[in-house]
Amino acid sequence: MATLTLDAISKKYPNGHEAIKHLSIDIADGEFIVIVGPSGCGKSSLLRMLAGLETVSSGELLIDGNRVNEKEPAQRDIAMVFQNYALYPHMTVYDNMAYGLKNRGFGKQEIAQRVERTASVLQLDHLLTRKPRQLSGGQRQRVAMGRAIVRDPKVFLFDEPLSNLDAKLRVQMRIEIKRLQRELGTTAVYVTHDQIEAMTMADRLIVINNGAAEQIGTPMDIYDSPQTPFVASFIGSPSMNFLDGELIGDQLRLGSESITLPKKHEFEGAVKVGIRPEHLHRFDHDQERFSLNLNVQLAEPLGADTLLHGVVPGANGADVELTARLRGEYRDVSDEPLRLGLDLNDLHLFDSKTDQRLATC
Amino acid sequence: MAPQLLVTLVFFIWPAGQAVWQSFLVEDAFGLSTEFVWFENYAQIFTDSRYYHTLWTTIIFSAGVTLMSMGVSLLLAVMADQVVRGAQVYKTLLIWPYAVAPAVAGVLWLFMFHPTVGVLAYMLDTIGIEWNHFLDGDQALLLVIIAAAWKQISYNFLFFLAGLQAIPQSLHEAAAIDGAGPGRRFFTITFPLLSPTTFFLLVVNVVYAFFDTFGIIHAVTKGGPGDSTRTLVYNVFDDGFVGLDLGGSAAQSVVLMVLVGLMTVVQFRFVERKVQY
Repeated sequence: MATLTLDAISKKYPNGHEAIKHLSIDIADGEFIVIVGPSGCGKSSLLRMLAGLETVSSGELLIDGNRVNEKEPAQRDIAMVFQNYALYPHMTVYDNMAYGLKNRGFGKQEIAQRVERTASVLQLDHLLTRKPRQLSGGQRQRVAMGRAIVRDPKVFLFDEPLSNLDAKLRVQMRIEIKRLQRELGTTAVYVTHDQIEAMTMADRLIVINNGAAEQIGTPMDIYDSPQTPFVASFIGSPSMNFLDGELIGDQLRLGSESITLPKKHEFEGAVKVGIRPEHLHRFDHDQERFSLNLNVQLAEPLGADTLLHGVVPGANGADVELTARLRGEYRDVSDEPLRLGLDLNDLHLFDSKTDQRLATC
Repeated sequence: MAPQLLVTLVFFIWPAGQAVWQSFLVEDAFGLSTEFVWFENYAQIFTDSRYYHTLWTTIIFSAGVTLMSMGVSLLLAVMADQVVRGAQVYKTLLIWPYAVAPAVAGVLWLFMFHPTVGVLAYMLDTIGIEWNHFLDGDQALLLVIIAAAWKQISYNFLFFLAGLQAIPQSLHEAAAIDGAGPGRRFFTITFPLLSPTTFFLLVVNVVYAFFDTFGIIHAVTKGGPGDSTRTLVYNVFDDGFVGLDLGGSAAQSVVLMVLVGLMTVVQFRFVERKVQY
């Protein structure tokens, strides 16, 4: 149980590459924080700094209010689950879990008790005498979890722990990790590039791009009001469509059309208009004030929904690619463009120059 | 017939067969007459107390060479593994001794330890150790052990380094987070994970010490002083080509062959099982 404070944390490598730029966040006790971003964005560097495997170049790192910048990984009382699990191949499952306790000088009985309790929580009881190579991917993942849990650390760190599992197991383990973390109430920091994991598991998300935190907030906050086009396109699947437009008063010019917006903005000029694929629907003549003509090029049936990929006419007559997610099956075989409607409250507007979300007034 | 079978036949089976055949013969010193004597040569070996002394010397020599070369090369490999800058230079320098011919390596050490002109002998003298391997049998044995081990360090180093680099970094990190200090990490994680490499090198080094060290011993001590550095292989050479007892020499080679066969079987049956994970 612990709070975790990052105060303007930066990481600069000797070759001049700045992996993390002035990142600050206060993490509450028991909170589940997910760090998400594309590969190479610096999210793993950040996690490794928390673990003490990389030095912090500048800024302060506090666990429970105590500065830990200079502390060795062992002294920080954290546990980490690695992407490749990093189980000790020459030790049995029992020894893998007991290793950290032995190093910390726990008694034999206490170790046995703790390992057995953890094993039963994770349903590893019958596997304690096996070696890692005799386990399936999901079981190895569980042992890695067990090794972290058994020590009852202040903070759990997860480094893309599910990326080596198949899709079905990933969903199962995702739920299991979340449930376990809730039960134990241990503060957790979880790194992933998978936006579904990010959305489903996090209490709060940190979206990182090029080493900087683009946005920090609850998953639904970030989904509903992304601060930048990057965050908007990274969170949500399939990712957000962007069209170029111009805002003059409450009038939004989009291609040849001019739309009256329901909300006012203190901004005039070029904007990026973001539309989530799932917010598009078949045009309904009675209600809509806005429509897009989609030339469908490809339909992907998902069962409950269908993804339509195509182009819409954009500014200057150039075509812009667009994806829509429609409920049910799509059976239209005509060459006619499909008319799509949208609730104008679901539009996301960003300043084209600064890439910042426009505030409404 | 497959060509590799032919190669084996010509270069291994045939000479080995010759040795076995020869071990049943006694030839006079001028090579004029040969007599078939069944196991007389073998009987002579096993009743000769000098032969047992040679066997004992060989055991000490092999254990010394194996321990020293593997210990030093493991130390060097662990240190080279941590070098970030100029690692290639270290590796190249450490691999050089392997390119030195055994006799040259022997002479190199002979000069350094030479009681009258040797640098190291002089240094030992200044700290009060009198070094003269021409007179002191134990010192002579130590010298050939050092020379033979030095020659093998490069080879072991390469394998240890490859073994170390095959251990994923995340295991060291996981152990560090699990509260193990550097020393404990080495003995509980690194060394056990190196055990397949260590086992392989153990077999190779023992075989090397038994068979491949003739050149070094011949160049440095010629088996002396007395019999103090006379190993089994040196004995084969000396009895056969100096003493011209070809039958007895052949019998000794056959015993050596059987001995190494046995050792390898024992190593693989009882040790290998414990080093796999």
